[in-house]
This record gives sequence, structure tokens and C-alpha cells, in this order.
Amino acid sequence: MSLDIFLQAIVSGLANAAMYALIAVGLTLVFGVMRIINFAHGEFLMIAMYAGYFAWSLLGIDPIVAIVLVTPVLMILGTLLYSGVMRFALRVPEINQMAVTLGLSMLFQHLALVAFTGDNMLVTQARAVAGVELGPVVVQVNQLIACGISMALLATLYLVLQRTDFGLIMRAVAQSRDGAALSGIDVTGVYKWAMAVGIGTLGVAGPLLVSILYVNPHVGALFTLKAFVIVILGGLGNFTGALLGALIVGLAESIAGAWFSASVAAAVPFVILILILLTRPEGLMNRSRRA
Amino acid sequence: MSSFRTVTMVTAVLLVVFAAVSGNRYYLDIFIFTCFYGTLAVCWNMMAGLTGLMSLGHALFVGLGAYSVAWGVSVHGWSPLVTWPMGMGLAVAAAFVIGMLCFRYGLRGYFFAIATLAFGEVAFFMVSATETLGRSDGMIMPISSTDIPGQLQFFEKWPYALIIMTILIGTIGVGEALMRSRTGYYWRALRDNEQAAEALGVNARAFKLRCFMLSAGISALCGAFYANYVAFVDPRSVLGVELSIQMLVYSIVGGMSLLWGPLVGAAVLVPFSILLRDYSAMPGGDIVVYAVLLAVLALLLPQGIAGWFVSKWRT
Repeated sequence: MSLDIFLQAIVSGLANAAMYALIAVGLTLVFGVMRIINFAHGEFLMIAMYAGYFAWSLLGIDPIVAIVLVTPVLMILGTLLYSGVMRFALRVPEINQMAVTLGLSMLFQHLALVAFTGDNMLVTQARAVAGVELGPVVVQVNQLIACGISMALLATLYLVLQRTDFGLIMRAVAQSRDGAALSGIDVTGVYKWAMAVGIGTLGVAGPLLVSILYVNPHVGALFTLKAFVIVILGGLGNFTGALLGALIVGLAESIAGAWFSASVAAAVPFVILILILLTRPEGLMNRSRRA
Repeated sequence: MSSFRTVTMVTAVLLVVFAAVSGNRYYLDIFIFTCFYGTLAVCWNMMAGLTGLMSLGHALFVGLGAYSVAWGVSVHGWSPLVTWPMGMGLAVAAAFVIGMLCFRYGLRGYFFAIATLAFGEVAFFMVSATETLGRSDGMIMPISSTDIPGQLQFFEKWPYALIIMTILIGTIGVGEALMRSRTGYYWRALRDNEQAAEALGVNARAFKLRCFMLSAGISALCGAFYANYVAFVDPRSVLGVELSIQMLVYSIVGGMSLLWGPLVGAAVLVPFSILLRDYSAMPGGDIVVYAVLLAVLALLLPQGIAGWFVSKWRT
């Protein structure tokens, strides 16, 4: 493999990693606060992608502008998901929680199939084919935009979680639900906000992604699995861990893609997941349970 | 109920249904698939419901069974007498390795589920990339116009129904016998409180491993049957995560606290979704109904249909 291809793989890997990080932090945030793994996470991304696509194809809105419209919608969907489903799921055993979110994921996939057919849809603007040359490497303009917005949002989220009272309250609930409740924190409200923010980030990711990647009803499942790998790699519920995980998965996938066939490259994140589960199940960034 | 009575009752119900549908190829096909998914769900639930090990990678074992048969017959012309034990052996060995790794490092709950999911996905993508296994297009097994009993090729569907019924009854029988043996009690002890069970001297790793290997072996048996019945295997139908999820769905809907609970789930959902798929105008309509049912039942009836029924009946 020539050096140029290797460099190209690294650059695309980094661009993908920024998107993966944006998708995975929502999942890890919801898990951190509520201790529920949302198997329907990717389906909300799929909804956001369709929203971005139709905003462009029906109303002629640029995906970047569409973010402003799609994000509030997804945040509302997040709170609805909490009050309609997750609220009840908190009371049932782990396996039933899994079943509930799996059921939702199947439901959304097939409703999308009925409503939008199985066709691939992609926003094709003039800038979709434009690229920027950096020495031997070419980066799509849309990838650069997506990468930039995603990093800006991640930085904002990080600051909000670390520096504001809102973030402090969220972290408090994540650490100890009962302790937080005893200190007078409205835990239900925090859950609702965690869902709103966790799903809301997908409202930013969706429109950005649909100008790079086709959307179809099954695209969500793929991202759910990748997001799992990323959050477990970094440590479930750990924000910076998710960023690190996204970086590793994005790079590993695109470097493997340059070397091997697409199917083998698709298996790479799962191989990494198995390795990490066996050696350090608490994730790279979470404190070890074993001394 | 004694284990003998459970097996007799399941056999009786199966025979009655079989007699009722045996005249109609379409209904017989539904019956066969119900038994197929029912067996898979029962053996999945031996792990999840009775031992507390939630696997999302069971498709891996079904796939090992199915691909052993498909590859054996289309590349070498091997008989099912060779390929079925081969598939089961491979599945048991795979479960041994995966189980050793997972239990050695103490993976539980979500982590075990996601680790098995990852193993399943790796297998899915590896098979999709392998030339001799037909890549993602799958393998079509050789079919002749006449019956070849030695290759389990029949024009009529009833021989297949008898085979899968035997497998199902065997699974229930083995499961019931185990539930009343020391192993079964250890399994349930591990499910309810692993630390307490270990403190009392139960070798947690060995007994979990035993359960995993048994369940994997039966899954491979079902997979081998599937390959012979459908005569076509591809990664999506026998290795996909959807198949693993189906086992969970039937178990949740049927009831996970009982060995035969998942069978009830499959008996309700499989015919329902096949009929809905064939007779409704809406594509994917069956899955919409089924997904709603799953989410609602998981929240409102955590003990499942069979569990609910039994608790009503006993009081």
C-alpha cells in the first residue's frame, strides 16, 4: 500500500470519527444518566437523516440550515420517548429494557420502509462533489463541514457538562441517582433532559450525514452497532471515552478498508470490541474495577 | 407439572396441530417454521431465562449448523449424517471458546450480550467475505427432481415436519430433565444470585459454560435442519443479528421463567407474522405489529403470556 493511500485513509478516518463521536455521545449520555442502553438510538439518527433529506428535496433547505430545524424536533422526540416509553422501562428487568428498545428500533425501521420505501436517498448539491486537496490527500467539502460542526458541538457539550450547573446536575444523577434525589435534584427532569440532549445531538448529525451518506430505513441499525462499540471502547457513560472510542473505530475502519475488502473492514470494529471487552470491560477511560 | 407430563403435553399438542395442517402444504410450512423458531427460542431461553445469560449472538451457532450442511453437500456431497454432527460440533466448540473468554473475564448482563453480538457480527462479515461460502449471495444447495432420503430431500413437507418436531420435543425433554437435575438447580441459582451460588460451592464458570454449549449445539441442529429444508443459506437469514433478536422476542412474549414459555411466544407470533406478511397489503406490516407487541408486552407483562397464564391458573 502506498503512503498516499495510507494518508488518505487516515484523513477519511478522522472525518468519520468526528461524526461517530457525535452519534456516540448521545448514546453514552443516555446510558450514563439512565443506565439503559437504547437500541433504537440509530433509528433516531435515521429519522434525522430523512428530515434533513426532505427539508432539502421538498423545501430546498440546505442541510446545514436544516440542522436548526431538525434538532429541536429530535429533542422533542427525545422527551416524548422518555415520557412515553423509557419512564416505564426503568421499572422492568434489564432484558425487558433491551426488548423494549429493540422493539422500537424494529418499529421505526419498518415504518420508515412503509413511508419512504427502501430506496437510498442522498442530498446532492453542487458541493457534494467538491473536494479540497491537501497535498496528496483529497477531502470532500461536505466532510470538512460535517467534521467542523461536529467538533464545535462536541466542545460545547463538553463545556456544558463540565462547567455549568446543568452539567453538574447531570453528572450527579449519573453518579448516584438516590444521592442526587436526596440532594433535592428533580431526577425525572434530568432524565428528560438527558434524553432530549442525547437524541437532540442526532438532529445535528442527521442532516450533516445525509449529504455524505445515503439514507435508507436500515441505516440506523449500522450506526447503533458502531455507537455501541465506541461507547464500550471508551467506557459506558464516559463522555471523553466516547471521543477516544470514535477516533479508534474511525481510524481502524478506514485503514482496514484500504487494506482488505469492505466486509472485512466492517468486521474490524467488532473485533476491537471483543478485544476490549476481554481485556478491559470497563472501557479505556473508566476507572478500573480491578486493582 | 412433572417433566414427563410437560413433554407429553407438548407432544400431544404438536401431533394434533400436525394432523390438522398436514393436508395443506402452506399451513404445514407455517407449522414447520413455528417449530423451528420455537426450538431456537426454547434453547436460547435455557441460557437467558433459566441461567441468566443473555446472548445476542445465537445466530452464529445457527449459521455454523446451516453453513456446515450447505458447504458439505455442495462442495463435497457429504451426507447429513456427516454434516449435522459437524455443524453441532463446530457450534459447541465455538461456544466453548467464546464462553471461556467471556466467563473468564466475568462479563455479565449487557456486556455479555454485546460481546456475543460482536462475535456474531464478526462471523457475519467473515462469511460475507468468503468466496467458498458464496459471500453475501449465499449458497444454493443442489436439488434433484426426485426424493433423496439420504440427503434429506423430500418433495412432501411432512417428513420435514416430523424431523423438526422430533428436535423440538427432544429439546423440551432434555431441558425438562435438566431443570429437575442438579445442573438445572445450579443454573437457576446462578441466575438468581451468582455470588451467593458461588459462595455455596457452585462452579459458576463450568455450569454457565455447560449451558452455553448445550444451547449452541441445539441451535446448530436447528440451523442444519433449516439448510436442508430451505436448500438455500445466506448470511442475512442464518447469521444476521435479526435472527438472534427473534429468539429474544419469542422468549419475552412467551415468558422467560418457563422452559416452554418461548414456544408459546413462537406459536403466537410466527404464524401471525407469516399470515400478515402474505395477506396484508402493507409491506413490513407484520414487523410493525410485532414490534409494537414486543415493546408493550415487555413493559406491561414482564412474565410473558405463558407466565401470566400459569400464574392465573395456579391461583
